[in-house]
Order: sequence, then structure tokens, then C-alpha cells
Amino acid sequence: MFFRDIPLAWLQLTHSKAKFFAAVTGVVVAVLLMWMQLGFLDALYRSATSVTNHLTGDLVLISPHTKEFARPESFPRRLLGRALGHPDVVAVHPFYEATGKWQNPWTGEKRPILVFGMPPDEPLFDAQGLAEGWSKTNVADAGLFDVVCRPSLGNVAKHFHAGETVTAEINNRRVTIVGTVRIGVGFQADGNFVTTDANFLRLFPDRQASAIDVGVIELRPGADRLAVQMALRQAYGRELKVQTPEELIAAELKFLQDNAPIGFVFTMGVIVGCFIGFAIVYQVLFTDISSHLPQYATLKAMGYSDGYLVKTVLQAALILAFCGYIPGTILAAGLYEIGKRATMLPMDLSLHRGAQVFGLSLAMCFLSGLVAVRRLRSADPAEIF
Amino acid sequence: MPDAIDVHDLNYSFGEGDLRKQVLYDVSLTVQTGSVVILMGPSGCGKTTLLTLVGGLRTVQSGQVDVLGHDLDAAGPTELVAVRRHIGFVFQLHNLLDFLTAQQNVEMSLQLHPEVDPVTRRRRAQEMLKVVGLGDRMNYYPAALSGGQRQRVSIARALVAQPQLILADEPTAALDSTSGRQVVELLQRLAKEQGAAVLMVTHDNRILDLADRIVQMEDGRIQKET
Repeated sequence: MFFRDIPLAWLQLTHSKAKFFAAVTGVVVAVLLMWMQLGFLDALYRSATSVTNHLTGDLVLISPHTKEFARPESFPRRLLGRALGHPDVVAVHPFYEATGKWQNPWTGEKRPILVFGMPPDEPLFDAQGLAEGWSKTNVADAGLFDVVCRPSLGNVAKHFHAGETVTAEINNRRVTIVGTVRIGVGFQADGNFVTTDANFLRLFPDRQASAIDVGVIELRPGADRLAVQMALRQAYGRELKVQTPEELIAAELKFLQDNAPIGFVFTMGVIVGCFIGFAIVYQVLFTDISSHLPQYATLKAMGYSDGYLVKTVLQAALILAFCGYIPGTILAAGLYEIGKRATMLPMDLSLHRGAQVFGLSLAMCFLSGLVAVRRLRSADPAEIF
Repeated sequence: MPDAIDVHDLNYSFGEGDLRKQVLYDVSLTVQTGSVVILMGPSGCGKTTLLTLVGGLRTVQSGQVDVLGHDLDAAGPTELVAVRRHIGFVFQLHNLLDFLTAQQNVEMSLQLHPEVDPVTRRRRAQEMLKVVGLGDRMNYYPAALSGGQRQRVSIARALVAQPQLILADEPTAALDSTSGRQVVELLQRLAKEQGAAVLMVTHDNRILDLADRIVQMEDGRIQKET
């Protein structure tokens, strides 16, 4: 029908190129705002779990007082032995974690860095670069540096890959970078440093080997994970929390949502974007209808129904949504790239978010169309004679 | 063959209660198929109201209105819209859509008839524009046409679907005398060719000779016919 008939909505919108351009620009701005707000929100949530996402193991033991993975409460290492009593548990690995002060070797600036200490025979991360570099960390004060870090830590990756020996200070102790990994940063620190438990304890002299932060449980292949989890929960009672990695990530997100107002802030941004788009599209449609009332009335006199005119206005609204979405999304892709470099947050144009933004722009334009349509009532064919 | 228009004892009022003002009193009028009738009278005599009632643009309050075999006094809004598709309207102002070319404006009228496919629609619109002497202006927008040319486009739009009835309201009002007469001559000639009846409201004395009948109205009543 659309191609059969004269595309009234399209011809009306595009008759004045300047007006059309202005209208589309309005929608582009709205679309761009939505992309950016949703992108940052999503990136912040995702970055908050970037460390937990890379943790290996089938079940995780943490202190019940640990609210955030990056700020763990320690617990006695001897508690791990209890899990080993379960026949399906193959191994329980101790995991140390603390925030240290990294001194940028080029600027001298001190920034927070998360330091992870793991058994030399068992790196508990599944991250790119770990397999190659891990064996080199088994010397004093050596470690792997996360290249997905904020620029404030210095361009370690560039110097390291150029073949230079990069040394820096963590907690005023000199460390040597022996490899790089890709993990990702959250809010709590600007970067990550992965090393052995022995090196970890050197960097944090006030920490004891007997007090660990996380226990990573490895199960026998084919074991019923949930059954083991239930059994271990019984065994630990209130002393430790037994979580699957998925539960750990979910709890991490929930903590963030409950304790940081970022969800609210960015949702407000999306609403503002929608409102801008709504106002612009409404203005364009309303003006178009108002300046064509006698002509619309003529169409009605000729025998066009109200439904036809309503359809035309809504079509115009949807055309604007579509014409604004595409350039808006292309621009967003560019800004995401810039944002990614500046913040090292994981910002990607995902299909899911694309659909979300598209849906929002459609709804925004459709709604302005519906409001503008009310103006059509003034087109009375009996009044044009 | 039934008459194109057959109106009996038509009364019409605007407003409600104390503000109620009657504008048509017992109007009876017939327009035979294929004839041109001019309706004259001073401003406010009710002739435009009569035209909108016959055109199915207002709902009949009391009396009988038969247009092209449809009983308008019993018709609901949807039926009125359907009847209007068989009537050609020519307005005082051309009311062409400024964002459509002359040809597209004419096509809008044919598009109301789903049996006309798009190819035929375009061809017939082009032929109609040639008939009204705008064969070389088919892709012009209204803004690029003169007043007379625009009114000729609107005549093409009114006639292209070959309606059996054409209602015209002061079609010469916005035109100078020469192009005004040309436009009405064209309208009359084409209506005769198509066998369509024309009911035209006008003040313009120079075009009265083109009518088969002239009906005078005053104060909401038909005064005399000539």
C-alpha cells in the first residue's frame, strides 16, 4: 500500500529540505543521548563485574561481610579445609585481594590498583595473556599488568611491548611487570595487578598468609554443583557464603544498584533525551498540520477518511524516527570509540541496546504523532467553502 | 435517469437553544444530470450552507436530500464520506497540497478509487492535465503556478475521477476576470463532455451565460429561477 499510494507523509516532510534536516537533527540528538546514557550505564555495570567475570572455579567462598568483591573482608584460611571434606570437591584455592597504591613511573602520580595474589601453581583467572605470563611471576616482586586500565597508571603496555623493562611502585615497593593480561576495571581502582600469593604478601606487609579473601572451589567433573553448594552451605552456616560465580556477579550488580545512584542518573538522561525528541517531533508535526489545515480539510471533502490523515501523521512520525535513528547510531558508534579510549569502560554497540534505543525512538516519535494528531480535528471540510 | 440533486423542504439551523439561527427555510431544488446550475444571492443567504449539505459535508437536520441516488438525510458519517468520493469539489481557493506536484495533486483524487491501479492513475492524471492545458506543467509545484493555473489543476483534480456531480464555490473569486471566465468555461465544457451536473455558487455576473439555469437565493429561501 505504501508504494502503491502517493507517499504523502514522506513528500510533506521532505518538501522543505531545511525543515526536514532540522527535524531529523532533533531526533538524532535524542537518539544519540539515549545511546550515550544507556551505554555508560551498561558499561559501568559491566565494568563493575569485570573482575568477577574472569574468576575461574565452580563455587566461591567469601566472608558474609564482603559486600563488594573489590573490597573483601578476610577470613581464616583454615576454613577452606572444611570444603575439602566433601567428596565432590577436588581442590580449594586461596585467593588474596587488596587495593594498593600504584605510582605511575612516568608522572609519579599515585593511583589505586587492585592486586590479586594466587597460588603459583593455579592462576584463578581466565584472562587473555595469563597463560603466557603466569610462570614468569614466580620471582620476587614480579606480576602481570592489566592493559585494560585507565591512562592514569601510565602507558605500561606500550613500553612493555616495546621490549623495555617496566618497573613501578606499589605501596612503595618496586615491582617488575613481566607480562600483560586483559581483565577490565571497575570503579574501585584504575587497574589490576595479578601476582602470586607470596608477592602479594610482600606488597601488603600487614596482611597474614592465614587470612585470605576468597576461596575458589574446584569440583570433580560431572559433580552436581547445586547439591555441593547446598551441602557446603550447611557445613559453613553463617561463617562463610557459598556462591556460584553467577550469584557472585548478580550480587555485585545488586550492590551497585542499591548503593550507587548511577542507574537513576542515567535513566534520567534517557528520559531527557526522549523528551527532547518528543518535543521536536511534535513541534514539526504540529506546525505541518496547522499550516495545511485547509488542504487536509479538502482531502476530507474529497472523500479521504480521518483514519487516512491520522495514518499520514503517524507515518511522518515514524519516518522521522527512522531517519534520526540511523545517523544517530552511526554518531554513537564514533562517540563510543572515544568514550572507550577515555574511560577504558566496556562500551559496545550491542544489538540488544540497538533494539532498545530504536524502540524508544519509535515510541517517542509515535507519541508525538498521537498528540499532534489532535490538531487534525480542526480540519473541518464544511468550513472550507 | 434520476436527477443529480433532488432537495425537498430542507431546513437548517446553526447553534442551539436561544442562539439557534435558522439559515435555510423549506429549500427545494433539483439539478438534472448533465446541467449547469448557478446559485446566486447575497452573502449570508445560505447558499454555501446548501452546497455543504448537498456535498455531504454537513449532516441533514430536516428535509430530504438525494444526491446521485443516495439518500443523504439518512446517511451516517461513513456513508457521507463514501458519497463524497463521487462528487468533484472546486473551491474558492484552490487548496492544492503545496508539497505535491500538479500531477500528484490530481492523482490524490483518483487514489480514492481502489479499482484504479497506479499506472492508470498516473496516465489519467496526465491526460486530465493536458485537457486543462497544463500538459507542460505537470511536475510543477503549486507555488510555481499562476492563480489561474492552480485553479485549473483543482478543476482537473475535481474531474479526473469522472464524478457525476461537481460542486463549485466561487471558483473565480481569486482570479482576474479573463482567467476567471476561462476557468469556468473549461469547467462547463468538461462537465458537459462527461455528462456531469454542476452546481456552482458565484457572485460573478460575467459567467452567468454559461449556466443552463440560475437560481436566486435570499434569506435562506429560493427566490426565483431563470
